[in-house]
Amino acid sequence: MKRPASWNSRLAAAGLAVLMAGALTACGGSGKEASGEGAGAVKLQLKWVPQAQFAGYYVALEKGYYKDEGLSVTIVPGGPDIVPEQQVANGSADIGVDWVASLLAHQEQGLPLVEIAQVYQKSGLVLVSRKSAGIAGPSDLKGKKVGNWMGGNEFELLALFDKYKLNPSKDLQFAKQGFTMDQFLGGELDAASAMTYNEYQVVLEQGIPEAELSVIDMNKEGVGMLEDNLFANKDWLAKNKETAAKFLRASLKGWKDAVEDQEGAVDIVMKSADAASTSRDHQLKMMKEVAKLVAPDGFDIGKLGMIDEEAFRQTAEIALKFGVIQKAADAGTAYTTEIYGMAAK
Amino acid sequence: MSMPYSTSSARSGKEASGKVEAERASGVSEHVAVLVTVEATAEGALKGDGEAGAADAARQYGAADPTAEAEAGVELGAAAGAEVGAEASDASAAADDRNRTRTSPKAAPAEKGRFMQQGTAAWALPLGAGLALAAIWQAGLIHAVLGLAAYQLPLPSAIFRAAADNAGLLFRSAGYTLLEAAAGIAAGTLLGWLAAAMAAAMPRWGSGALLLAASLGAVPIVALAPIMNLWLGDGLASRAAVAAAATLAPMAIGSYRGLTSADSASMDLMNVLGAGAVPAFFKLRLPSSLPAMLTAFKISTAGGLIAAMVSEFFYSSRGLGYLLSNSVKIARMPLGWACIGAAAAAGIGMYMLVQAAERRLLLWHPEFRRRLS
Repeated sequence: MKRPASWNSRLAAAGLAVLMAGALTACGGSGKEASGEGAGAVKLQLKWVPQAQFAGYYVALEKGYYKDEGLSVTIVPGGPDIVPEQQVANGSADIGVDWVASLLAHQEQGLPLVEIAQVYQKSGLVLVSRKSAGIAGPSDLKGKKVGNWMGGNEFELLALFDKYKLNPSKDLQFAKQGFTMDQFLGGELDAASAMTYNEYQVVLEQGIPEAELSVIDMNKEGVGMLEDNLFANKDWLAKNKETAAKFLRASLKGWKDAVEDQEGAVDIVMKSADAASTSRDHQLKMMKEVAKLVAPDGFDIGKLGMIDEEAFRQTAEIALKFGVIQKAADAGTAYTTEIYGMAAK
Repeated sequence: MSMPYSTSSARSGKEASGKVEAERASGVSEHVAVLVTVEATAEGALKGDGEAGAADAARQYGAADPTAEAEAGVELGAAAGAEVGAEASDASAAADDRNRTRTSPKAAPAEKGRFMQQGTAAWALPLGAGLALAAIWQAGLIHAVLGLAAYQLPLPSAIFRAAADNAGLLFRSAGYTLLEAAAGIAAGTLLGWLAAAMAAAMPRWGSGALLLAASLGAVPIVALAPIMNLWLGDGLASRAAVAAAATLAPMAIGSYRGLTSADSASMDLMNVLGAGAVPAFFKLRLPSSLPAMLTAFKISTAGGLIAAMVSEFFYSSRGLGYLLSNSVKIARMPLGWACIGAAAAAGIGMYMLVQAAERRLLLWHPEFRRRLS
């Protein structure tokens, strides 16, 4: 006799639906107030693991610049599945480091975030390929397998493809790249994404001479977007402007030291870096390349961390044009120069 | 939980209506009769009131005194409404049987109709619950209660818009993931079954194979995905391999249980008739293993799909799992939720496919027939 059984299964199905909905929605409700143990406690969420990319913060911490401002700063390392914007929005951290394109996309979704400083003034992203792959320029990417880490790092490349009328789902194979250069070195990728300060150096360290490599520079192609910036949780910032200004002042002091004394900065970074997966030599090369992005040729070192309106506008325009965001970004709410102004005093 | 027919206290009262029902069912209105019964039961069930269900059903039978019928139902407690339906259905099953012995062409449509009615009743409640949930969700009640912002839990309207705007992408991604899952499930099923067959045929060696297969089921997918990627590259094969590993264990265990479950009397009969091991395997063990095997298959299809999706989180550039994880990382939450919806739909589709296959393969099986009729 089936009725009792099917009645039970109907009940079970309904119960399951309710349970699942409850479980799914409950996942989102994490703690709102994560950091603040007393005044002056700040949590900084990095975009990636401890390395010279974030030298300024480690120098400021090591040399006691944060302490001098009366702050107790915790640096939280990032990783492949950590999205700094989401960590800062849900209160796990107060201030985060990520690329501007990613920040714009999250702001559009309503995450309460605002940029307070632009640490990197230029894009550090390049596409690298072996000369033998025959990729002299972007139009040669047609029919090739091109890698990127995705997850918010792909927008400059999408802009590049669009500029050269390449459809990433038809004209070429746009594939997810791992966080090592193994796919490129093993020949699985024709062209791989590389940061000038990290993956590109890895390729050179593997013994491939620069003369055998072709490089497509996003800045030169006009699709470069601003990358590492500092952004804060809006709600937190409203109550902690002084703290944020102090944090920024100390951080920029740390960055100035790092740019000027690269050897010393790397020594400090190596204390936090994972010795098993990197070397001092690699970090020193990274520091040299990072310094070129933080303070490019001819940049006034006194303006470290400044948000260049024109550069921000270009990034926002590219983001809009290539679908990173659907509506034009509002410069008035996307970033604030107020904290920078307070820190400069 | 089901009340044996002969001990039912409602029996004497019901038998008459059952007979009436049988008469009617053998006539032209058998479709309608079944439909009425099922809907009456469902109505009663939805009211959460067995009594009402019984009374309604009784009224539909044209009983002289519906309250008397209902009282009989109340004695049975909460299952009363369902019981009435079951009896009517027993009656119509009897009619079906009669039809079949007369090889009436009506037998097939009657059966089909019954499946359809069962389907409607099974859909109605979950669908209603789902719609109610969506309405509450859209109205922002969930957000208010759990203190969530719209970026943490997108509204259903935003999710539907994202799904509509990205329909092509979602279909392509779902198709790719289903392909990975299907390839993996096929391989895992075959290997699992072979391990089970070995274990059943040669207990001494085979039990080792079974243990090996079962232990594969304990390996976490998260650990397996990067390794398979290293072995097989970043193409379809690496995800299919993970899905196969996830499928293999339940298949091996379920099939083994099935293959060793032939009842001993039947085995004795095979022996008495002088059947060798091979005919006994194909004529008795294999068919009697089907119910357990198909149950295992149902479980493993869901597992295989999840395995394929989760392993896409790591290295894939395509598929639902990749789209889901990347959408969330680049703040396209509605699209991420649309992926979850698409994955659920794909899973349900696969489950229904297996269930339909089960129905076809097991129609002969006495236990399955009992469950159906």
